[in-house]
Amino acid sequence: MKVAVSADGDNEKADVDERFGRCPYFVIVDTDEMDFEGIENKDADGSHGVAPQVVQTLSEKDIEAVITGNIGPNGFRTLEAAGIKAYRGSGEVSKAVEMLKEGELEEIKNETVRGHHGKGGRR
Amino acid sequence: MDIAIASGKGGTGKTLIATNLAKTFAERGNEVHYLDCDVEEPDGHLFLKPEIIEDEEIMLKSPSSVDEDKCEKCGKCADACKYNAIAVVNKNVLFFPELCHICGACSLVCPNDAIIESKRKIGELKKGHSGEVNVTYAALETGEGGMSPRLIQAVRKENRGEINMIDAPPGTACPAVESISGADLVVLVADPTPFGVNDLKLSVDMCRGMEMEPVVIVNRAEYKDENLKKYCESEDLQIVGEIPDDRKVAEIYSRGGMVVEELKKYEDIFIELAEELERLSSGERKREPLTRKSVGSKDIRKTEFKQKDTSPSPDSKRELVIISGKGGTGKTSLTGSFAALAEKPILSDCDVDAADLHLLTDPEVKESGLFSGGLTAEIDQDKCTNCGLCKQQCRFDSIILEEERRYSIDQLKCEGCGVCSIVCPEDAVDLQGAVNGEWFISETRFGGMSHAKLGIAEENSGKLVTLVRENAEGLASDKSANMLIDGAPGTGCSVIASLTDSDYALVVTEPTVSGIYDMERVLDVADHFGIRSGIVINKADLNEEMTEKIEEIGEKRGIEILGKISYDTVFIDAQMQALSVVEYEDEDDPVSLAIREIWKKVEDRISSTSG
Repeated sequence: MKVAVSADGDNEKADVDERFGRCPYFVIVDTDEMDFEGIENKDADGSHGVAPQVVQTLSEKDIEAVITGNIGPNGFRTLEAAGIKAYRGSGEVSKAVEMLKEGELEEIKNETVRGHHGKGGRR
Repeated sequence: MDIAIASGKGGTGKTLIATNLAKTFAERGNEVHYLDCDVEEPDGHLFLKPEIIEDEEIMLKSPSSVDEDKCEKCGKCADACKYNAIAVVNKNVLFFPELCHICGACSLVCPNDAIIESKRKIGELKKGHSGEVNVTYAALETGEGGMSPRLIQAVRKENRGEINMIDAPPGTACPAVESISGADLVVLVADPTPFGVNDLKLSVDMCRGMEMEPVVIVNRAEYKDENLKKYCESEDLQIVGEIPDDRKVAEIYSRGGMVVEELKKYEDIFIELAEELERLSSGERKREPLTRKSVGSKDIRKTEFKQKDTSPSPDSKRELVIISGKGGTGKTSLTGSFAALAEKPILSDCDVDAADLHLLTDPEVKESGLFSGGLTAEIDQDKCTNCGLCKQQCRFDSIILEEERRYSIDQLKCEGCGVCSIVCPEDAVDLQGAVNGEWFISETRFGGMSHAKLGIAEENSGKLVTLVRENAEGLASDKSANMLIDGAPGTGCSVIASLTDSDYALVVTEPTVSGIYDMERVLDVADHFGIRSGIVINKADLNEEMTEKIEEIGEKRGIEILGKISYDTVFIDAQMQALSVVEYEDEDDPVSLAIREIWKKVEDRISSTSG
C-alpha cells in the first residue's frame, strides 16, 4: 500500500506534521517495500483552500492512505472522493508507518478540525 | 450627485452624519436617496426607520455541480480555477462554494459545457422611505464575506436621487473602494484621537489612490490632540465641518434618534454642513485631484515579493479574538490592555486595512516582507488586437476601454481570476503575482506581535489576515502562549479570517441601536463557524435601557456578559500617551478595574474551551 505522511522533514526520521494541507513535506512510503521518499508540499504556501489541491496531487501519485494530525472538512471531503483513507498519527514518520502496518492507528472518520471555511477570504 | 461618507476607522460617526445629512437635504427640498453600502453592518435604517416597500433577495449564479453525462473528468476546470474552489479526484468533481469568486473560468474552459450553475443568495436588498428620504440598504448573508462588493454594487444601482448619500463601510479594502468609487464627493469622518488620525491618513491615501480628493468632517471635535488639525493642514485637506463632542448626541444616537430632529443646535450645524457639501460637489473645489501616487502596477512588478514560510508551529491552543461588528467600540484599546495583563502574549493585529494596535504597543519591526494574495493581470499592448473579448467575459467589470480602443485592466477591480487570459486569442494577457500589502513581525514591551498593512485600495484582506495569524503562530514558542487577536470590524472576509479556528471570540459592543444590531450579526458569524463567544459592554452607562437589552440578548442566546465598562475619556487619554488603559490608569481606577476583571474571566473561559 502506498501511504503519504504529512511531515516536518523530507525523510522517515522527520516527525508527523499535524497539519494536513500546510505541512512542508510529505513522506511517501510503500508499506511492502518500506522505501521512503520525501516530496515537498508545493501547496503549503497557498493562500486558501489548499487541502483539496494536496489531495489531487496525492491522488495522482496513487496514494491509498495518509497519516496526519488534523484534516478540515474540505480536505476530508476530497480524500473521501479520492478514495484515500486517513489515519491519525504522531511522532517519527517511520514509527507511525509501522503502527499503521500493525493496525494501531485510528482511522479519521470525520474532519478533525473546525472548518477553515472562508479562512482564505475571497477578496 | 453622489456624496460618499467614509472613514478608515469604524465608529467615527459616519452613519450619524450620513443619516442626519440625508434628512437635512430632504428638509431643504432635495430629492434624497440614502444608500447604505455598509452591507456587512447596515445601521442607517435603525435611525431612518424606513417603511420597507420592496424586499429583494440578491442571488448570484455560481458553479455547483457537473452534468455527469457530459463531464469527462478532464480536470481543466480545476486547473483554471485560481481560487482552489474546484478539485477533481478519482473521477469526482468537487466544488467548494465558499472559495468561489463566481468568475466563470471553469465554464469557459470546460470542453463539454458540463458545469452546472445554481443560484446562491448573497444578501437581501431592502428599499423604502423614511419621510421624504428614499432608503436602500442591503444585509450580507452570514458567512458570505467575500461577496460584499457585489452586494454593494446592487445598492449603488439605486443612486437615482438628486442627492445620493452613500454610507460607506469602514476601512480601505475593497468594500470601501467599491462604495466610494465614482462619487462626486468623498467626505471622510475622523475623530481627533491618535487612532482617528492614523486611520484618516489611510483613507486619504485610499481616495488619492483612486484619484479623488476628499474633504474632512471632524466628529467629537474636542481637540485634546492637535495632530488631526496639523495633519489636515500639512496635506491641504479641507475640514468642512465639526460636530462637537457632546454626550447628548451619543445618547440620542444610542437609542436610534436623529439629532437634527431633537436638537435645534444640530439642525443648524447640519444645514450649514449640507450647504457646504452642496457647494463643494458642484465643483467649487479648492484643489484638483491628485494623481495616484503610491501603488502603480509598474512599481509592483519591480518589487520582489516573498511570503513568510511558516515553520511547523507548536499547537498554540489559546487563541482569543476580539471583535465588535460595529467599529469604534473599543476593541483595540481592550486588546492593548489584555496584552499588558496576559502572561506571554502574542499579539496579532488583524484589522489589516486600518491597523491601530501598533499605536499602543510601539512595535520594533524585526522582520517584514511583501504580501501577495493573488494574481494581477496586465494587457500587453503590442499583442492586443482590441477584439474586446476580455471585456465581454470579465465578471468584475475590470477591463477598461480607453481612448483609441485600447483595453487595459482596472487593478482596483481585478480579482485575478484569469478569465481574460483564457479568452484572449492573442495571448496578450500576462498574469502575475500581485503585491497586496506588507507584513511585519515585531517585538513589543509585551511580547511578539504580528501585524500587516494592506496596500491602499487593495483586495485580499482575508488572506493577509490569515498570513498575520500564521506569522503569530510562528512566534508562539510554547503551548502556554496567549494569542490575542485584534479583529476587524464588520462581518466580512477579514472578520471571518480572524475568527476561524480561534478558541474564543470576545465581542465588544456598546449600548446603542447600531452596536446591538452589529453585535448580533457578528455573533451569528461566530456561531456559524462554531466559535464560543462572550460579550463586553463598553460605555455601558450611556444608555441603561440598551445595556439591559444587550443583557437580555446575551441570556436568550446563551452568551455570557463578561463585564461592563463605563463611558470614560480615559481611553483617549491613554491612547494619546501610546499606552493601554491598564498601564495608564491606577490599578483601582474603575475602568482599569473592570478590564482586569474581564481579563480574569476571559482567561478562564479560553482555558476551558481549549484542550
